[in-house]
Amino acid sequence: MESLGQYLRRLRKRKGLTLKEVENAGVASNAYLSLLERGLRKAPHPSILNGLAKVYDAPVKDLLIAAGYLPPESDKEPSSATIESAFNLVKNDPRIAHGTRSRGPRLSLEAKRYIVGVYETLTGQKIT
Amino acid sequence: MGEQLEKPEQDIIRRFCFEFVRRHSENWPAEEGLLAREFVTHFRMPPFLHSANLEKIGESFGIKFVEEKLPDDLLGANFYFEGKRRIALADRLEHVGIKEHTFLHEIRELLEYDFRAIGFPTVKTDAHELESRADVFALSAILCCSEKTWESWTKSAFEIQSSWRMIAALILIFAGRVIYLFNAGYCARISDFEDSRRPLPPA
Repeated sequence: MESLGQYLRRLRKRKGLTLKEVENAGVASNAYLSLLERGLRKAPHPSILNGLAKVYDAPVKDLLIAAGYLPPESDKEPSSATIESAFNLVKNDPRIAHGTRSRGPRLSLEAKRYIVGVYETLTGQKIT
Repeated sequence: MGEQLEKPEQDIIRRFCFEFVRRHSENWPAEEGLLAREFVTHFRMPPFLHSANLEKIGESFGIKFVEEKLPDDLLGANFYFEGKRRIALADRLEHVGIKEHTFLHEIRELLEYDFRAIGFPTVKTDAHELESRADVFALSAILCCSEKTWESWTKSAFEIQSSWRMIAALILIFAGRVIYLFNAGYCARISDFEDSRRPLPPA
C-alpha cells in the first residue's frame, strides 16, 4: 500500500512541480516537504494537507485518508439510515427484482446491506 | 394481457413461463403442484437433487448460483436484473435437503418475475403469499423428481422371486419413502421452525 509520502510525491510529480515551487505556494518549507515525502516526518496537521490538496488539485479527503485521519473508503460502514434508504431505492427500482427465503417477516439490517451490495454489483451503480 | 404472449422468447425460463401460461391461462393462477410437475418434466430434473449438482443445474437454466456467507436471517436470496438471474444460498445450511429446497424456492420466485413480466402474476403484492407458494412449489418439485424412481424400485421389488426378500425390499422402500417425505416436509417448514426459536430483527 502506498504511504503518505509516496502519495504526496506522486501527486507533485503528476502536477510537474518541484519542491521549491510547492514551497512558493506557501504551504510548507521545501525541507519539510522533502522529509515528508521520504517518510521521515509523521503525518502533518490537516490544515497543511488541505493546502497541499489545493496545490496538487487532489481531493482533500484522499489526503486525509492517506494520512490516517479518516478510515479508508472500503472500511467505512454506511450508516443504518443510509442502508435503509438504499434498500428502499432497490425495492423501487423497476429494473431489478429480488426475493429472499428468510427467518421471519422482517429483514435485518445486515440482510438489507447484503441486498444493497448485490444490487451495486449487478447494476454497477454505487448507492451507499 | 394475453397479447403479450405472442412474443417469441429465447430465454429458456421465460419461454417455459410463456408455454405454461398458454396452457393454463384459463385457470390462472395455476396450482403450484402442477407448475412444479411441468417444471420438473420440462427441465428434466434429476430424480434426487443433490447440493453438489445445484451449480450445474443452475447453469443449465442460465442462473448464476453461489453459496456464500449470508446474514444470519437469510437462508437464500434471488436476483433478476436485465435478463440475468442469480441465486445465493447461505453456506451454513447443513440439514440434508435444505439447500435443494431453498434452491427450488428461489427458482420459483424467479419464475414469478417472468410471470409478472408477461402479464400473468400468480400473486398480487403479498410477498408472504409468494413465499408460501414457493415453499409448496419446492416441496412438490422435490417429490415429483423422485416419484418415478420410487415407482420403479417398487416395481422391481415385486419382481423378486423370494417372497420374504420381496417383503423386506418393499418395507425398506416404504420406509425410505416415508423418511424422504418427512424430511422434504421439514425442509419446507424449517424457516418457520427457526422463527419460533430466534428473536425477530428490529423493525
